[in-house]
Amino acid sequence: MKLTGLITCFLLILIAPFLGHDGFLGLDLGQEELFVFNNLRLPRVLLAFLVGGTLSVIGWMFQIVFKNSLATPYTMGISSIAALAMAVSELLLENSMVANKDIVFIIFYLPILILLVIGFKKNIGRDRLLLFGVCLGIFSSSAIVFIQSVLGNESVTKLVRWMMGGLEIVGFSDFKVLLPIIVIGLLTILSLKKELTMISIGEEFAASRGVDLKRSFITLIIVSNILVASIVWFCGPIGFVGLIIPHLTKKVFGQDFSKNASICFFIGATFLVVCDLLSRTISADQIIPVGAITACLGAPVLVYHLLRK
Amino acid sequence: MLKIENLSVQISNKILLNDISLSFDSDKVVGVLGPNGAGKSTLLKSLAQLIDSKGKLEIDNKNFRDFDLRKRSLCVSYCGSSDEILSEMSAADVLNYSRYGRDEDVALKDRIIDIFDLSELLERSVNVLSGGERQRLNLACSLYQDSKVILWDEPTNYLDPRHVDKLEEIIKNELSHKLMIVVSHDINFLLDISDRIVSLKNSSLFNNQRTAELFEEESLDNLFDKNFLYLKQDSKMVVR
Repeated sequence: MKLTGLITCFLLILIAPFLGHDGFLGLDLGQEELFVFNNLRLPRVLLAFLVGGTLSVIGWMFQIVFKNSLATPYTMGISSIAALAMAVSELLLENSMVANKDIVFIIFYLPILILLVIGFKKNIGRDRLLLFGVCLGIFSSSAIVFIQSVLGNESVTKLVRWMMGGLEIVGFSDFKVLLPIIVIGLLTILSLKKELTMISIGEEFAASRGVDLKRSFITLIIVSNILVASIVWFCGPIGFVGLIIPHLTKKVFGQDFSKNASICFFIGATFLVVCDLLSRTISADQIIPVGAITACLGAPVLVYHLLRK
Repeated sequence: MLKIENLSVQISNKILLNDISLSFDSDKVVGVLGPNGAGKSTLLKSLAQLIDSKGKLEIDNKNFRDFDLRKRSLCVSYCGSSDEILSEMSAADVLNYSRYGRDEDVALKDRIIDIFDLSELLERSVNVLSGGERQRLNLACSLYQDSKVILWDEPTNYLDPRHVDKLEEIIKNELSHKLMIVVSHDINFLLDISDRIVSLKNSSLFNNQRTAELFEEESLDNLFDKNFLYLKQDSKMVVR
């Protein structure tokens, strides 16, 4: 059963680049179809694969680190800050000021990352860090509403669309930037997979067996923050993947992060590839933001999970 | 074997342990007694270096604080509350992870599973085990870590009388070659298993006596500010 599920996931990923709103491209690609395949479909599916898997693994990691089954990759307020940076960039652009969005984001985000690291170093309770993330979210949402009220319609539409998350890339340039960040980040997280499993059993249990809690937490928080910030910046805050896929993996394959982190990555990757496939095939003339699809599919699953608990 | 000099713990202006100096030999069982808030658990946690402390900690004449984390876990194992291991993982997996960083020792594991009656529980999730079952697993994990010094905080918590008796047997028969430091409010359990009893009161060392001496001198009365009844039943020391 589990194996069948994984094989189905694999087949879905294989077939996804060949599918679009105009149906199956076919294996014998003509010149135009080859262009669509190489520059639109393949980079998009690969991006969905990478982003879906990474968000799922980070979601599971955050659920362990924050001892909270509702933690997600965005729990620490990264997506809110990115959205605020995006809104501020739009505002600056509208007022004819030169604004490099990347720099605006870094200016907004760097102090938060430094604060989080100091928090962990000073052993501030993780429930307080969670609260910090929530406050950051509330502040950013209010600030965005304020900025939206002075932005023009076009910018507001752009902003709202970005906030739903999307994987619309052309060619491999964005993918090439994200790939090394994600590979290095994931390898760092996976190098601490045994420590994370020990921490998931109990922090005293882990610490008394030689796990350096402080070092593990700081490493994981820095690496995951950089990963999530990069993903959010390129794809927007694609929600629910990082919440439901860890729960699904834990339920079906077991709680052992060390054994099942790679399976979690694979299921998350497939989930986002499928959601992306739906987002570009549901409507013939429009691409639905992938974040809307993941939320529509994810919310009922989460509610089911909560009711069962 | 284990030597503590001027050990102090202070957390945000509150002194939890004040200038404790003690030394312990290997192959001894040391009981730690004291009223609530005396610093018993703090003493164990600072020995396991789970909390920051000041003062000298030596194991086999070597500064224990200089040991890296892996070496520390080979020297000292700490077993606190079983509520600390509320995982959804199976008991077997948790037992395996308790030997983190070292090779599996099948013979030792089988022996531990046998003496703690765990064979029926291994496939079950830890968070569906009863309090007593989880406590047995918790203690088993600490033994499977197979370190020189074993620190147990309230090991009889949640255990039924039959398993408390079994635990006494395990300590006498299986762990006679280790240094064990056991904190408990179950005075009679400590009288049964301990060679020495260290008493703490108001975060300071109150007494450090051989168990028989503590019983003969009726030292518990001053420690707990309460009059106990000291009885000998079949050469067994009992207080009420």
